[in-house]
Amino acid sequence: MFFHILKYRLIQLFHSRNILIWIFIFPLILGSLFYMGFGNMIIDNGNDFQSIPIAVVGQGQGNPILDEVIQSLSQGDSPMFDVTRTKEANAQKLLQKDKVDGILYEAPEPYLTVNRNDLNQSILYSFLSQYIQQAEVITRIAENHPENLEAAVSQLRSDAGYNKEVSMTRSKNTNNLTQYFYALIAMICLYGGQIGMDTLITLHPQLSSHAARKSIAPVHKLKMIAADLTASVMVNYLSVLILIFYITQILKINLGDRLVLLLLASLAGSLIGVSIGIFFGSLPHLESNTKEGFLMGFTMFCCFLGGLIVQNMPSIVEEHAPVINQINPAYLLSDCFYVLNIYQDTARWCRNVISLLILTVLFSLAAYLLIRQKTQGSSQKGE
Amino acid sequence: MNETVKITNLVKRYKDLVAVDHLSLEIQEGEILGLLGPNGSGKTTTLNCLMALLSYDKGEIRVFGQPMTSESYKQKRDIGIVMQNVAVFDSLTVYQNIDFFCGLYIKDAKLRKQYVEEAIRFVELEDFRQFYPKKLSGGLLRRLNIACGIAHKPKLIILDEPTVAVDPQSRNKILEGIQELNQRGATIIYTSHYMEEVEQICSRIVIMDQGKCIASGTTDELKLMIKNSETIHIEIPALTQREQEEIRNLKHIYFAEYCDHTLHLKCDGGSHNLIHVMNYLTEHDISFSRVRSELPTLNDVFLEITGKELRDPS
Repeated sequence: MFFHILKYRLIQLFHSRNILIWIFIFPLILGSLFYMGFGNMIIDNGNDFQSIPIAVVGQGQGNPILDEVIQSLSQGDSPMFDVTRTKEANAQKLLQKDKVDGILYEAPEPYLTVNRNDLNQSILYSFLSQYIQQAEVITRIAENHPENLEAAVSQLRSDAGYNKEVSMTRSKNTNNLTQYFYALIAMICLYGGQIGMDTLITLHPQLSSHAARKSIAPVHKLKMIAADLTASVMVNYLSVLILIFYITQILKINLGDRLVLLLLASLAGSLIGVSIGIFFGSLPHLESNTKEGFLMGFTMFCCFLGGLIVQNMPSIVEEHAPVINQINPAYLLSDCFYVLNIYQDTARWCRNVISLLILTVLFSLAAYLLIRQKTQGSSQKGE
Repeated sequence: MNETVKITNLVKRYKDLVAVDHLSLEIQEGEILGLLGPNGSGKTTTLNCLMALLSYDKGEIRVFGQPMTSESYKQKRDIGIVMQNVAVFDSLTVYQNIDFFCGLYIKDAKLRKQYVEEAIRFVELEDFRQFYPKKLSGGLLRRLNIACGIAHKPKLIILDEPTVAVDPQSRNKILEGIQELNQRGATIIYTSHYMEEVEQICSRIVIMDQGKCIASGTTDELKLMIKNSETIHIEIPALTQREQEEIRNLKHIYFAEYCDHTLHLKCDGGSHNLIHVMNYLTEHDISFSRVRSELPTLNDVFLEITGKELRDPS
């Protein structure tokens, strides 16, 4: 029975012109337009990591250890930093003109100034955080166990090398413009909302005659819902897989080397997309066209805040209303993809995926409550 | 005869509106029950409660002798529904639509195929099995709608206005089909606003208004419930006020009106009313031309019982 319902729901979805256009064809067109718009800026040509231009400004007594670390990271065949040592005023000018990605202040307590929140800025931030953390460790060792100091400094040196290696490994295949493609994948995940809404209409007896006819059949409601929602997620996820294949294999854009995590995040994206559609489909007292309009508006607004149209938008949101980024499914999704190529650690990826799953549950629960209220029959007129 | 459906004291409220008001109803096995009522009378709400699509406030519904709930899968297996709106999927072909709905009842693929083919033959859609619903005419769509509801061979079939917007040929075909299903043993609940259809196929009729059953019986029994037993129209070139008054005073005539050279009379029972009127006209040497006598229709019964004011669902 489950497979009978699943089979026919899949046939229905694949026959829907709206779904074919918006879920399968539109993303490929949009991806192609991005590709053409960015030209070869975005193509992964396998080149090595580009050094990050930074301005280094000495302050107060300076910071000889940090200076040594920066020097070591700005030498060699593929240096991590392209360093300009200058005064603060000039450094600010360079930053304003985008000649450098950040200003590193060599003070006893070093700090960083950036004016954007892109990949290079993230690397700089990670570098400085790691340095401060390890310097503190060294200081404590010097105070408490001076006999181990030499070994600790040696370890720090090796860590500096590791830092350079790790950062380059996670970022060499990443271009800032790739974020547009991440946002596009996130958008298509959220387009699953259309399928979710359509599915709800075929499931809820108060919303369509088909659903009423299905409801009186001797099939457990949960089985019916499970089959229909499985089909919805399958179709949406398939469209995401096709898009990822198109981006990576046809457009030859490198989305990184952590494909499994990328696909898992996409699956979470399909789940949240479908659940958002179910939620909007269950809104009471609205015509289905109005619901579709609300759904589309919501999806596009989330994508706008998530950086699909203005790449820097998530940084602006983070600065003024960070909570929005925590609950915006489009941002959470694109950030999931983005962090995979920046951080070795998957903690932030996990946090994003968990947030998405929590949102999925919340949207589904809200939809359930709205549907339940409607089933109790406050709106249907007696004929 | 067994009771297929037994509704006892059913009450369904929508906030302050009482859609079904202490309704009790029994439907015997093998009956074709016509459920009539003006818009907003509670017919569809009653059917939705019967099919467990709606919860209700009070009362009991039993189908095939068992309480009917949304989890009554055993009873549901033997119920077929033909919706007022065409409930088929545009993205599935005729065959796929019937197969899908039949598949919700019949697990065995071989048996299901046989049932689907039988349903297609029954509604004469053999030439359209690969058509999508959008390519079908209104009549064919209605037939597909019926096929989806009856393919699994239910013992109780609920047809909610299945002939809306259908041409006379298709309507006739549908009505014949319903009678055939009944002859094969199905109990049928039929709602319609077309009185002549109900009169033609239903063995018993229930008239609902304001959520209550206000009349029940066969067509003839219902006709006896109303005052008007016969309507007579006689074309008379000239008739004086005094003659009109004398005709009005004839036995069993309770209404007389003369306008446009035609005398309209309504009788409340009695027999040979027309002969009495003709005798009066002959005795008084009143010339007349065309004479027409009409017995009451179900429509007259319905209008007299439910009233003639316009109804809108409230």
